[in-house]
Amino acid sequence: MTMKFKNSLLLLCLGLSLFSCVQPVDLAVPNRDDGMVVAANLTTVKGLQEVRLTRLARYDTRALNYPVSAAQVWVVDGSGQRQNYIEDAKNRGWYFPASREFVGEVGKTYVLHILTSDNRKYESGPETVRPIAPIKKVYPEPVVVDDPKLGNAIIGYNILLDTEDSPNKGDYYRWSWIHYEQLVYCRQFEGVPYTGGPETLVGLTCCEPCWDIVRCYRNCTNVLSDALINGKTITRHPITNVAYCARDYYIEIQQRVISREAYNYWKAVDQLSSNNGSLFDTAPAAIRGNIKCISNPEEEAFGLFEASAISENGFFIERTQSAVPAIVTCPPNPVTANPLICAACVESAFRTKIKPKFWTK
Amino acid sequence: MSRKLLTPFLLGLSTLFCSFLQAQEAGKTQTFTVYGNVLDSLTQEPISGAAVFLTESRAGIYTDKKGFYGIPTPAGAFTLRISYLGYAAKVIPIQVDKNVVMDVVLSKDAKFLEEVTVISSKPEENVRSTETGVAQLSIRSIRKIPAFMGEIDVVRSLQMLPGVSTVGEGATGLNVRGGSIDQNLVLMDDAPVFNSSHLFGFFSIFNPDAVRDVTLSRGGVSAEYGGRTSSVLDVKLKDPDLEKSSFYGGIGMISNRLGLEVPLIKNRLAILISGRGSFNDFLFKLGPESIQGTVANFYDLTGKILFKPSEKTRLSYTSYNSFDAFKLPSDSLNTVNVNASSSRYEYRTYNQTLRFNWFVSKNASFTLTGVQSIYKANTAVPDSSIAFDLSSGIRLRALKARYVHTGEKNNLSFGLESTNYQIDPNQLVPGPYSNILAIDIQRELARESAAYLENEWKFSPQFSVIAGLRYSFFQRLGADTVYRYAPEAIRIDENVEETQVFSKGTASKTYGGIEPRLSLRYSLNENTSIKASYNRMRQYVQLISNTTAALPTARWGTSDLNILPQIADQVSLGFFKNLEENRWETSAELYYRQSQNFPDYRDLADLIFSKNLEQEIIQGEGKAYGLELMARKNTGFLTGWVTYTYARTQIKVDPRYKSIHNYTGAWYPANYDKPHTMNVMMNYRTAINVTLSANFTYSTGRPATYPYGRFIAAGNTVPLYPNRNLQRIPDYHRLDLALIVEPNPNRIRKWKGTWVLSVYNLYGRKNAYSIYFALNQRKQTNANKLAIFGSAFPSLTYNFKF
Repeated sequence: MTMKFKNSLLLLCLGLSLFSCVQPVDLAVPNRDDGMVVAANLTTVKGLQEVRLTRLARYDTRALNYPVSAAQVWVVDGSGQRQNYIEDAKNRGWYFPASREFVGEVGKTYVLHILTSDNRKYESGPETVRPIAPIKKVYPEPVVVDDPKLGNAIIGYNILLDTEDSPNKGDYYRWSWIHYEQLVYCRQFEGVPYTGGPETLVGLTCCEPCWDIVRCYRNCTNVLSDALINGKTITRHPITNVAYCARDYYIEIQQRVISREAYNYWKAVDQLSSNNGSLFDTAPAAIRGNIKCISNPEEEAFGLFEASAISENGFFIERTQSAVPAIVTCPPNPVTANPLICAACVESAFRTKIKPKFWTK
Repeated sequence: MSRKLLTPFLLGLSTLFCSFLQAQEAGKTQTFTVYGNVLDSLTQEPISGAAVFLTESRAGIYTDKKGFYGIPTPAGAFTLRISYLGYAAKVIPIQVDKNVVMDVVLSKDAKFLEEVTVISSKPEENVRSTETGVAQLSIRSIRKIPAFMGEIDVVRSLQMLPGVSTVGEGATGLNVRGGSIDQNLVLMDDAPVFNSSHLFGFFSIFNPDAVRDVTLSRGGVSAEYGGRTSSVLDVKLKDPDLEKSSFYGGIGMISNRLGLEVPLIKNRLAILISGRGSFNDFLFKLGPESIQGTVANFYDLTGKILFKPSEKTRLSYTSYNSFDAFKLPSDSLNTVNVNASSSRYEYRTYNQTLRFNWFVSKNASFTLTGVQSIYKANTAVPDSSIAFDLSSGIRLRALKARYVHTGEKNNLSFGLESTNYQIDPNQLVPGPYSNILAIDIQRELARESAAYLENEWKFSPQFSVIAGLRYSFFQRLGADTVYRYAPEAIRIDENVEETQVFSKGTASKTYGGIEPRLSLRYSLNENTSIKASYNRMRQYVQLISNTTAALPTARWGTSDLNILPQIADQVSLGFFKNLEENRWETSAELYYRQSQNFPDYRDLADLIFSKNLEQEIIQGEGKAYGLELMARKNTGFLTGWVTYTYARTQIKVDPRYKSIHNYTGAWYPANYDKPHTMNVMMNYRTAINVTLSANFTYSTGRPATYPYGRFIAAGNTVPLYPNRNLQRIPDYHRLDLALIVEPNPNRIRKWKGTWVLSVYNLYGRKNAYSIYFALNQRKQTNANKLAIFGSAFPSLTYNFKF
């Protein structure tokens, strides 16, 4: 049962009562914040290998998942080849392969090892990279609403995907996406109001081509088991949705074939994060990833090391080509502060100078 | 006020008495006798002490213990008047030219002040019957309980009794003495009911216009009943009136009702049809935009035909049909791993009962009953590429024969029954252009047979015993494919040793065993008794659900090679005392119940499409114990009851299942473990036709599991849970009021209209429906309480009858 269904049930209850209300309550909830959390990806695509280590946070508004810094991290494949990871200088707790060329290979099995600065040792279960079929098609579909003023109007686009499932049973898929937004202004700041009016957003144009990297940041467990569609085409599988703005929109979609353990983990993540305390919640469960504490078997470790092949596709949604009127949601456009000065494009996890793979313009 | 009303009654009584004396002096001319029996219209039991009176000659008498009367009278035309407290008086013209036999049936009537009783059984039953833990509510007393949204509700009113609880407002079913909802045998005119709720669990499926009374046995369950381990809820429907037609109905905020009773052949054949429907979608239209497309409707139709070909035989047929539908907009049931734009849910109950009674002699009767119960649930998604139809169903067919012999010192009963189950767990049918694969989980077939013998010995007025023995035998029938697991190993794929295939008709597994039942009563005096009971019950079918409150679409499953039948043993001890000539009843009951093979589920179990349910179910132990106290006032202007219950229910799961269950090896509270419950129910008659009723309920909050830690995975905040059910949601309490204005009984009118004004949750307590956590940086606390009945709910209902 996912969040959606339960929320609908709640709405139904609300509809029946009409007088429902939500109030904060004070509860004595036990808390703990020790425990290692691993989020690790090994893929067949360069630049998409990362290990992120954090500590568990208390279930509290103000608590944070602190990064685990200065750990030794390495991956060993079935033939005993070892690849060391090093911590990113700017982002504590993020580890990347020492060799930027390192990628996973289809058919190989990998194990992740972690040794923390306080000598705690963790290990993942073995993960095998399985072969993957290419994405058959990704396409946008306009979402049209009936607007009282405009009549039929586009409010945004659903991005949908088709792919062929292999005739073998037991395939598990996971999808993710990355949006690249080409920047005009590489720096923005609030301008000084001239005469007490609203503040003006001003910016400095980029010195070179530059893109912001936008990743899914909420409810990103997009997984599917082929149990219901084995051997047929997966059609119209939703990837994400994009609001309307009169600018073309570039998006890349990654398709992974993952292990059953990884699938169960993501399903559990999805299910547990959507339990909302209602009467239709399933019994609370433990989440079991594939990370174990070797130095102390009593210590619980959380998270997943996922090794998978990736099939990618990217394209532009031509948002300017719309035939029907549209309801526009655009980020604010700054005013050029000084046409003589430009701002540099600073390479980071969220910004790049490198032209995206499927960028055709 | 009371004196004013009592006067005419006392006058009438004295007149009766005087005329009785006068009658003694008459009889010098040729006299005949008018004689017969006075019986209760519902129970057919004799009414003793009823006044029988010839208006013209002023001769009269009271009926004796067996309801018999005889009045000597000269020849002539007379009017016979029969009356008894709590019953509508009857006036019958008779012509006396020989001895006249006149059997009279009286029906209960709520008109008179002194007669307001809250129970349908006799007050002294409390002390004198041998059984413990049996509560009976008549529909008349249920109607006096303030109802939510004006909907009179059988199941909700039972929650006012001690030992009965629910996981929350709007949850399906009842939890009785620490049992789960599927451990109650719910019977409607002998046909088992698999889901007793409309609209998830807001209302129950029993149409109040068609119900006669409701009996809940939670302690000493008769050997007649079996197949469930917790309690028996026996809902008896009204018999259609064989004498006169009536037409009734009601208009309410949730549903509208219409009913009809027509004698087709007077005193021989009559029919009852009663329907109820809700068309309350407008409520959603008033709500926020997100729910405006919601559709939620239900209806039910009850029909009963009664045929009495002779005084000794009786044939009745009951048909019950209920339907619920709701459509949720834009969102979906993602259980089947597709994303849909809308989903439609439907479920229906279709029950039929054919019953034949033969009153072999004055003391013996034989009953043959055939029932069929069907329950079907369906989920549909319309989107063409992922269109599907998911359906599940259970069909039960049973034949029961029962013989009862009542005597001075012994009441003997025995019987045989056989039940066939056909369960279609879940079938997924794709739409014409759909890419979804069809799934059809193997049909489950099973047969449950039972024989029982029970006798009540009334050794002396002080001491009586009911001892019963039931033997039940269960066969899981093929075609069936079952896994055998390594002995002592946990049931996971890796431990499957072999697969066994059974052909159609062969039994893949059988279970059976005796179920002793024992009840003892010892009376210390006329008004005080001590009772004890012991029961063993076996259960072979169960509802497969691991949500806090069961969904109507949850499937049912039977025991098989791997899933063992549930067995529960209960002992109870009760102390019963009545005061002031049964004006007050008090009772205290203690119970302890232990269950084997109590079902729990593995973490994040897939219960919809699992072909090997034994891998999802982990059977553990259950224990429940409690104390139930009750004081009830039966007569007077003010009637009602106060109850207090202390009850605990705990579950323990085998530690071997540690890898697939997050809490094993120690006792933890069940979802419905609510230690303290108090209920107060009061009716006050302010005028001859006006009743003010109130009920108050308090209970400890249900257990909940709050997260103790979190981490982020793929943009989701993943909560981590400690051991199960160790926290609780806040305590629950609520006060309801109802004002019932009935037609003035002094004015004789054909059309009788009743207004019911009720206010649910009078002081607007924001009871927690659920507690959820929202990690909002701007708020001080991250725990939130959702109250869905967070204010007072007034409602107005109009009922009519003519």
